[in-house]
Amino acid sequence: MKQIIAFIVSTLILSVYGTYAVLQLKTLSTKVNEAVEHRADLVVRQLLENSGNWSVSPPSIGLAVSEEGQAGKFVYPYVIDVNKLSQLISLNYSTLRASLSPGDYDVRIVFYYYNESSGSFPESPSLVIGSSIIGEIRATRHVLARLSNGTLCEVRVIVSGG
Amino acid sequence: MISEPIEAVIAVVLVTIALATVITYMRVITRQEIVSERVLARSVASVLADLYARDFVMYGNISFQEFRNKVGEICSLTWKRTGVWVNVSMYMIFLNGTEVEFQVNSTKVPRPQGDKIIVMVPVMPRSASSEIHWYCLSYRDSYYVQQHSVGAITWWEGETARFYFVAYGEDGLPIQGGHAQVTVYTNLGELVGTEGANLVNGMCKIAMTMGGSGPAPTKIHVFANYTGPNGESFPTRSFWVDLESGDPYSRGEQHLIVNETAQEDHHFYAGETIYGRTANRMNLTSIRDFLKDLSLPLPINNISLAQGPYNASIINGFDTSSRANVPFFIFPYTVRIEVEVIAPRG
Repeated sequence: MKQIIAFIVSTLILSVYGTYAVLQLKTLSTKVNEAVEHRADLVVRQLLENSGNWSVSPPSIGLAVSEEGQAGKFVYPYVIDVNKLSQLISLNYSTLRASLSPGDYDVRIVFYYYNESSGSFPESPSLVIGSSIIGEIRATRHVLARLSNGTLCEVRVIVSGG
Repeated sequence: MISEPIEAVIAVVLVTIALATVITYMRVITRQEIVSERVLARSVASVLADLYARDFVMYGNISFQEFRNKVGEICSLTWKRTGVWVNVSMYMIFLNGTEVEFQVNSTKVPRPQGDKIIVMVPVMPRSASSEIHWYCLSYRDSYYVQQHSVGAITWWEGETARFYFVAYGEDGLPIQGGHAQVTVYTNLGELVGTEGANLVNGMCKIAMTMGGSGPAPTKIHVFANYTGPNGESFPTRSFWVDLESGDPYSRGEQHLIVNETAQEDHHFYAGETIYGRTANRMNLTSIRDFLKDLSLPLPINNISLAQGPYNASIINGFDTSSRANVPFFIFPYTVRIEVEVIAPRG
């Protein structure tokens, strides 16, 4: 009888503890990572799917090529306007961070330009913009894009902190 | 060492908890990976849409085969950099709602097992630029003329000369409206006439009755003018057309391209069959130079068809006298680019 009670109690304790551990892990991962992951998605969308407004100060950051036509404004997502990219490079980090990532997130944007002769992206980045410090909790997005001059590039957006 | 049943049960419970923990962790990771891969797929689809719309359709600086090769290259690069398998298809969507699928290219490794993400981007090639391009095309390479003399009086009469005016935007879409005018002189300096017409759907045809007093000319000098729909003016263009001796009434305008109801037509849907009236052979030239020597009818599986304009040189058998030049547009259509991404798991 004693053994049965001990068995039931220990199983109960283990089950409760186990369930708690599973839920805690899920919540932890979700809470910590999802905020950063979500922020990384937002940064990619703002950076590469919007044309931004560079005529205001501080600028609304967006690199996508846009054209004013008779039917309205055409925005070409993931096609990077090289002039806007130059403006982005010249921005200081605090402006870039405030515009792209309100909150305590650090952002690093890394470009790899396609090399036609080798038919590959280089191993080391062609251009790095943003934070030099990247925290332990981070989210990375790999996307393809084209510069407006036709050059294919891989863009990595790394968001960390929170 | 398990000696009691209770120990075995506890061991099973512990293993179950450990497995549940691992499964939960993997699920969270997988969900994050899927979100990341969805963003990647969207970027690949957008890049390919731009490649198709700008480089292939609008500017025509790559052929469709080059576009396919480029897509294959991008699939390989994506695989190398991210370990994600990519397949790209295109759907041509016609205005009557039908769709034709066309497989473009994929990563050159066997299709893996894993989570599949499909992203679709509709592409309607359209240029924001309002720049107008136009040209004037003579229906015949040369027209027949005949000289008559009665006593001291000499005169000539000729086959009716016909000229097509074609106006289009950078995206190959027809310009709506505008006025065309053609003035024709003989090589002897005699004015044959001036005629004008308004453009409809980027095109108009002007017929000019030919004839005059004196000896028959050997050439005509054509001066073409076009005024855009908003009054845009362009420099006058001129060209010479040969005249040759022949019966002016032996051939009229019987060599045409027609639709399936046998009506003269210059606007077709992609994939529609184009028929020739008194013509069974056709060569094409276009503002883009990758389409040549295409025969009637146009095949539906040739996705390289852009809206044009195209100049069809039609001919009946090998009778060179039947040769006529007829421009036409392929009616605009929408393309849907579908990018399928598979991330191998496990």
